[in-house]
Amino acid sequence: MDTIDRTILNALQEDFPIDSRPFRVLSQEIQISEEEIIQRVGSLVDNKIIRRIGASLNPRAVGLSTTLIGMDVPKERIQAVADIVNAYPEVTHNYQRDEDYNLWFTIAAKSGKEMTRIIGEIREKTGIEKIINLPSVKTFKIRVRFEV
Amino acid sequence: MLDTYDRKILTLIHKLSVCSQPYQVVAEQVGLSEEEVLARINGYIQKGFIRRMGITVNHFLTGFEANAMVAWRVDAQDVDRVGELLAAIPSVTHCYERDISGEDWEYNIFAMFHARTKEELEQTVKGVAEDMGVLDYKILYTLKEWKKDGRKYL
Repeated sequence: MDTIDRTILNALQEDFPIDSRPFRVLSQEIQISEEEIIQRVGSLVDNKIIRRIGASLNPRAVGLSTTLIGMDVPKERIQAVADIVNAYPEVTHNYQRDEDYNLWFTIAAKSGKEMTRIIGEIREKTGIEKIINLPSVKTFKIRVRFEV
Repeated sequence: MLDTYDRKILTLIHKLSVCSQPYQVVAEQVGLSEEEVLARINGYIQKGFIRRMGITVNHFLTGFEANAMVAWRVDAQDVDRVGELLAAIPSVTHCYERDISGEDWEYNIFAMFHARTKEELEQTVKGVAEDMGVLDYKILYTLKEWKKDGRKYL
Protein backbone atom coordinates (compact mmCIF):
# COMPACT_ATOMS: atom_id res chain seq x y z
CA MET A 1 0.00 0.00 0.00
CA ASP A 2 1.34 3.41 -0.92
CA THR A 3 0.10 6.95 -0.37
CA ILE A 4 -2.19 6.81 -3.41
CA ASP A 5 -3.82 3.60 -2.14
CA ARG A 6 -4.36 5.23 1.24
CA THR A 7 -5.92 8.31 -0.36
CA ILE A 8 -8.29 6.09 -2.33
CA LEU A 9 -9.20 4.00 0.72
CA ASN A 10 -9.91 6.98 2.91
CA ALA A 11 -11.96 8.72 0.22
CA LEU A 12 -14.07 5.68 -0.67
CA GLN A 13 -14.75 4.78 2.95
CA GLU A 14 -16.47 8.11 3.29
CA ASP A 15 -18.71 7.70 0.27
CA PHE A 16 -18.85 5.61 -2.86
CA PRO A 17 -20.51 7.80 -5.51
CA ILE A 18 -23.98 6.83 -6.71
CA ASP A 19 -23.27 7.71 -10.31
CA SER A 20 -23.01 5.91 -13.62
CA ARG A 21 -19.22 6.30 -13.44
CA PRO A 22 -18.41 6.35 -9.71
CA PHE A 23 -14.64 6.02 -10.15
CA ARG A 24 -14.62 8.93 -12.59
CA VAL A 25 -16.33 11.09 -9.94
CA LEU A 26 -13.59 10.11 -7.51
CA SER A 27 -10.87 10.72 -10.10
CA GLN A 28 -11.99 14.33 -10.34
CA GLU A 29 -11.69 14.72 -6.56
CA ILE A 30 -8.29 13.15 -6.06
CA GLN A 31 -6.60 13.87 -9.43
CA ILE A 32 -5.85 10.25 -10.29
CA SER A 33 -7.18 8.78 -13.53
CA GLU A 34 -10.30 6.64 -13.51
CA GLU A 35 -8.37 3.70 -15.02
CA GLU A 36 -5.67 3.86 -12.37
CA ILE A 37 -8.22 4.02 -9.55
CA ILE A 38 -10.09 0.99 -10.89
CA GLN A 39 -6.86 -0.94 -11.28
CA ARG A 40 -5.68 -0.06 -7.76
CA VAL A 41 -9.06 -0.81 -6.18
CA GLY A 42 -9.03 -4.17 -8.00
CA SER A 43 -5.64 -4.99 -6.47
CA LEU A 44 -6.78 -3.88 -3.01
CA VAL A 45 -9.76 -6.24 -3.34
CA ASP A 46 -7.48 -9.09 -4.52
CA ASN A 47 -5.18 -8.47 -1.56
CA LYS A 48 -8.19 -8.50 0.77
CA ILE A 49 -7.47 -4.99 2.07
CA ILE A 50 -10.91 -4.05 0.73
CA ARG A 51 -13.54 -6.59 1.71
CA ARG A 52 -16.19 -5.17 -0.57
CA ILE A 53 -17.63 -2.06 -2.16
CA GLY A 54 -21.31 -1.69 -1.60
CA ALA A 55 -24.29 -0.77 0.51
CA SER A 56 -24.61 -0.93 4.28
CA LEU A 57 -28.17 -1.91 4.87
CA ASN A 58 -30.24 -0.77 7.84
CA PRO A 59 -31.78 -4.15 8.66
CA ARG A 60 -34.67 -2.84 10.73
CA ALA A 61 -35.67 -0.28 8.11
CA VAL A 62 -36.11 -3.06 5.55
CA GLY A 63 -38.14 -5.12 7.97
CA LEU A 64 -35.52 -7.54 9.31
CA SER A 65 -35.35 -8.52 12.91
CA THR A 66 -31.86 -8.64 14.46
CA THR A 67 -30.14 -9.85 17.57
CA LEU A 68 -26.79 -10.64 19.21
CA ILE A 69 -26.32 -14.10 20.64
CA GLY A 70 -23.65 -15.15 23.14
CA MET A 71 -22.83 -18.82 23.68
CA ASP A 72 -20.68 -20.57 26.27
CA VAL A 73 -18.98 -23.25 24.19
CA PRO A 74 -16.39 -25.76 25.45
CA LYS A 75 -13.09 -24.85 23.75
CA GLU A 76 -12.72 -28.17 21.96
CA ARG A 77 -16.16 -27.75 20.37
CA ILE A 78 -15.72 -24.21 19.07
CA GLN A 79 -15.01 -25.17 15.46
CA ALA A 80 -17.94 -27.61 15.27
CA VAL A 81 -20.37 -25.16 16.86
CA ALA A 82 -19.16 -22.28 14.68
CA ASP A 83 -19.76 -24.44 11.61
CA ILE A 84 -23.35 -25.17 12.66
CA VAL A 85 -24.01 -21.50 13.39
CA ASN A 86 -22.33 -20.22 10.20
CA ALA A 87 -24.38 -22.55 8.01
CA TYR A 88 -27.32 -20.17 8.54
CA PRO A 89 -27.20 -17.41 5.91
CA GLU A 90 -29.06 -15.23 8.43
CA VAL A 91 -25.95 -15.25 10.65
CA THR A 92 -23.97 -12.22 9.49
CA HIS A 93 -21.05 -11.99 11.94
CA ASN A 94 -19.55 -14.58 14.26
CA TYR A 95 -16.58 -13.96 16.57
CA GLN A 96 -14.76 -15.93 19.19
CA ARG A 97 -14.05 -13.82 22.28
CA ASP A 98 -12.14 -14.20 25.54
CA GLU A 99 -15.05 -14.57 27.97
CA ASP A 100 -17.05 -17.45 29.47
CA TYR A 101 -19.53 -16.60 26.75
CA ASN A 102 -16.94 -17.12 24.07
CA LEU A 103 -18.87 -17.26 20.79
CA TRP A 104 -20.84 -14.15 19.78
CA PHE A 105 -22.85 -13.86 16.60
CA THR A 106 -25.48 -11.64 15.03
CA ILE A 107 -28.60 -12.81 13.25
CA ALA A 108 -30.77 -10.86 10.79
CA ALA A 109 -33.99 -12.78 10.18
CA LYS A 110 -37.05 -12.03 8.09
CA SER A 111 -39.37 -11.97 11.10
CA GLY A 112 -39.45 -12.47 14.84
CA LYS A 113 -40.90 -15.91 14.23
CA GLU A 114 -38.00 -16.85 11.96
CA MET A 115 -35.60 -15.56 14.60
CA THR A 116 -37.14 -17.79 17.27
CA ARG A 117 -36.97 -20.79 14.93
CA ILE A 118 -33.29 -20.21 14.07
CA ILE A 119 -32.23 -19.76 17.70
CA GLY A 120 -34.20 -22.87 18.67
CA GLU A 121 -32.55 -24.90 15.93
CA ILE A 122 -29.07 -23.70 16.86
CA ARG A 123 -29.73 -24.59 20.49
CA GLU A 124 -30.91 -28.04 19.48
CA LYS A 125 -28.23 -28.82 16.88
CA THR A 126 -25.31 -27.64 19.02
CA GLY A 127 -26.62 -28.95 22.35
CA ILE A 128 -25.21 -25.82 24.00
CA GLU A 129 -27.36 -24.78 26.91
CA LYS A 130 -25.78 -21.52 27.95
CA ILE A 131 -27.08 -19.13 25.32
CA ILE A 132 -27.98 -15.48 25.82
CA ASN A 133 -30.16 -13.57 23.38
CA LEU A 134 -29.61 -9.80 23.41
CA PRO A 135 -31.70 -7.94 20.81
CA SER A 136 -30.82 -4.28 20.36
CA VAL A 137 -33.13 -1.72 21.90
CA LYS A 138 -31.43 1.40 20.60
CA THR A 139 -28.65 2.13 18.12
CA PHE A 140 -26.37 4.93 19.25
CA LYS A 141 -23.79 4.59 16.51
CA ILE A 142 -22.82 2.72 13.38
CA ARG A 143 -19.91 4.31 11.66
CA VAL A 144 -17.31 1.95 10.37
CA ARG A 145 -14.40 3.99 9.19
CA PHE A 146 -10.71 3.33 9.63
CA GLU A 147 -8.20 6.02 8.80
CA VAL A 148 -5.50 4.10 6.92
CA MET B 1 -42.83 -1.09 0.46
CA LEU B 2 -40.16 -3.05 -1.33
CA ASP B 3 -41.01 -4.60 -4.67
CA THR B 4 -39.25 -7.53 -6.33
CA TYR B 5 -36.78 -5.22 -8.06
CA ASP B 6 -35.92 -3.53 -4.76
CA ARG B 7 -35.22 -6.85 -3.09
CA LYS B 8 -32.93 -7.88 -5.94
CA ILE B 9 -31.15 -4.54 -6.04
CA LEU B 10 -30.67 -4.40 -2.28
CA THR B 11 -29.13 -7.88 -2.36
CA LEU B 12 -26.87 -7.15 -5.33
CA ILE B 13 -25.55 -3.77 -4.18
CA HIS B 14 -24.13 -5.40 -1.07
CA LYS B 15 -21.07 -6.10 -3.21
CA LEU B 16 -20.53 -4.20 -6.43
CA SER B 17 -18.19 -5.21 -9.25
CA VAL B 18 -14.98 -3.22 -9.59
CA CYS B 19 -15.38 -1.78 -13.09
CA SER B 20 -16.17 1.56 -14.69
CA GLN B 21 -19.97 1.11 -14.50
CA PRO B 22 -20.77 -1.12 -11.53
CA TYR B 23 -24.41 0.02 -11.37
CA GLN B 24 -24.87 -0.94 -15.01
CA VAL B 25 -23.88 -4.50 -14.03
CA VAL B 26 -26.61 -4.49 -11.37
CA ALA B 27 -29.10 -3.00 -13.84
CA GLU B 28 -28.46 -5.81 -16.33
CA GLN B 29 -28.88 -8.44 -13.63
CA VAL B 30 -32.25 -7.10 -12.49
CA GLY B 31 -33.54 -6.04 -15.90
CA LEU B 32 -33.89 -2.30 -15.30
CA SER B 33 -32.07 0.69 -16.79
CA GLU B 34 -28.98 1.96 -15.03
CA GLU B 35 -30.76 5.28 -14.53
CA GLU B 36 -33.64 3.56 -12.76
CA VAL B 37 -31.25 1.61 -10.53
CA LEU B 38 -29.38 4.80 -9.54
CA ALA B 39 -32.68 6.55 -8.79
CA ARG B 40 -33.85 3.65 -6.64
CA ILE B 41 -30.56 3.58 -4.69
CA ASN B 42 -30.88 7.30 -3.96
CA GLY B 43 -34.40 6.56 -2.77
CA TYR B 44 -33.12 3.83 -0.40
CA ILE B 45 -30.75 6.33 1.18
CA GLN B 46 -33.51 8.91 1.58
CA LYS B 47 -35.81 6.33 3.16
CA GLY B 48 -33.05 5.04 5.43
CA PHE B 49 -33.03 1.52 3.95
CA ILE B 50 -29.32 1.84 3.40
CA ARG B 51 -27.01 3.91 5.54
CA ARG B 52 -24.34 4.49 2.93
CA MET B 53 -22.54 3.24 -0.13
CA GLY B 54 -18.87 2.79 0.53
CA ILE B 55 -16.00 0.41 0.83
CA THR B 56 -15.43 -1.90 3.75
CA VAL B 57 -11.76 -2.22 4.61
CA ASN B 58 -10.27 -5.16 6.38
CA HIS B 59 -9.24 -3.42 9.59
CA PHE B 60 -6.95 -6.29 10.65
CA LEU B 61 -4.91 -5.84 7.48
CA THR B 62 -4.83 -2.07 7.76
CA GLY B 63 -3.18 -2.18 11.18
CA PHE B 64 -6.11 -2.26 13.59
CA GLU B 65 -5.12 -5.42 15.36
CA ALA B 66 -6.80 -4.88 18.71
CA ASN B 67 -10.57 -5.21 18.41
CA ALA B 68 -12.95 -5.66 21.27
CA MET B 69 -16.59 -5.58 22.15
CA VAL B 70 -16.84 -3.65 25.39
CA ALA B 71 -19.99 -4.27 27.43
CA TRP B 72 -21.04 -1.76 30.08
CA ARG B 73 -23.40 -2.10 32.99
CA VAL B 74 -25.48 1.05 33.02
CA ASP B 75 -28.58 2.06 35.01
CA ALA B 76 -31.70 2.52 32.88
CA GLN B 77 -31.92 6.27 33.52
CA ASP B 78 -28.27 6.72 32.48
CA VAL B 79 -28.38 4.76 29.21
CA ASP B 80 -28.83 7.70 26.84
CA ARG B 81 -26.03 9.75 28.36
CA VAL B 82 -23.58 6.83 28.26
CA GLY B 83 -24.65 5.71 24.77
CA GLU B 84 -24.12 9.19 23.38
CA LEU B 85 -20.73 9.61 25.05
CA LEU B 86 -19.55 6.27 23.68
CA ALA B 87 -20.87 7.11 20.23
CA ALA B 88 -18.79 10.28 20.18
CA ILE B 89 -15.51 8.35 20.50
CA PRO B 90 -13.75 8.01 17.12
CA SER B 91 -12.42 4.49 17.83
CA VAL B 92 -15.97 3.24 18.52
CA THR B 93 -17.63 1.94 15.34
CA HIS B 94 -20.84 0.46 16.75
CA CYS B 95 -22.78 1.23 19.92
CA TYR B 96 -26.08 -0.29 21.00
CA GLU B 97 -28.30 -0.62 24.00
CA ARG B 98 -29.44 -4.25 24.27
CA ASP B 99 -32.31 -5.94 26.06
CA ILE B 100 -30.76 -8.17 28.73
CA SER B 101 -33.96 -8.96 30.62
CA GLY B 102 -34.28 -12.57 31.64
CA GLU B 103 -30.77 -13.42 30.43
CA ASP B 104 -27.71 -14.52 32.39
CA TRP B 105 -25.88 -11.27 31.54
CA GLU B 106 -25.73 -7.91 33.26
CA TYR B 107 -24.14 -5.56 30.75
CA ASN B 108 -26.63 -3.61 28.65
CA ILE B 109 -24.57 -1.21 26.51
CA PHE B 110 -22.27 -2.61 23.84
CA ALA B 111 -19.58 -0.69 21.99
CA MET B 112 -17.04 -1.98 19.47
CA PHE B 113 -13.58 -0.49 19.99
CA HIS B 114 -10.74 -0.73 17.47
CA ALA B 115 -7.12 0.23 18.02
CA ARG B 116 -3.67 -0.55 16.72
CA THR B 117 -2.56 -2.21 19.96
CA LYS B 118 -4.17 -3.70 23.08
CA GLU B 119 -2.45 -1.08 25.24
CA GLU B 120 -3.94 1.72 23.14
CA LEU B 121 -7.38 0.10 23.31
CA GLU B 122 -7.28 -0.42 27.06
CA GLN B 123 -6.06 3.10 27.68
CA THR B 124 -8.96 4.49 25.63
CA VAL B 125 -11.51 2.30 27.40
CA LYS B 126 -10.17 3.16 30.83
CA GLY B 127 -10.20 6.88 30.08
CA VAL B 128 -13.75 6.72 28.76
CA ALA B 129 -14.93 4.69 31.74
CA GLU B 130 -13.55 7.27 34.16
CA ASP B 131 -14.98 10.18 32.18
CA MET B 132 -18.41 8.56 32.12
CA GLY B 133 -18.24 7.35 35.71
CA VAL B 134 -19.18 3.85 34.57
CA LEU B 135 -16.60 1.50 36.02
CA ASP B 136 -18.39 -1.83 35.65
CA TYR B 137 -17.53 -3.08 32.19
CA LYS B 138 -16.07 -6.07 30.37
CA ILE B 139 -13.61 -6.04 27.49
CA LEU B 140 -14.27 -8.98 25.17
CA TYR B 141 -11.40 -9.19 22.73
CA THR B 142 -11.93 -10.61 19.28
CA LEU B 143 -9.86 -13.81 19.19
CA LYS B 144 -11.05 -15.13 15.87
CA GLU B 145 -13.42 -14.07 13.15
CA TRP B 146 -15.52 -17.11 12.24
CA LYS B 147 -17.80 -15.27 9.87
CA LYS B 148 -18.33 -11.82 8.44
CA ASP B 149 -20.90 -11.66 5.71
CA GLY B 150 -23.29 -8.78 6.00
CA ARG B 151 -25.41 -9.92 3.05
CA LYS B 152 -29.05 -9.80 4.00
CA TYR B 153 -31.73 -12.04 2.62
CA LEU B 154 -34.87 -10.04 1.95
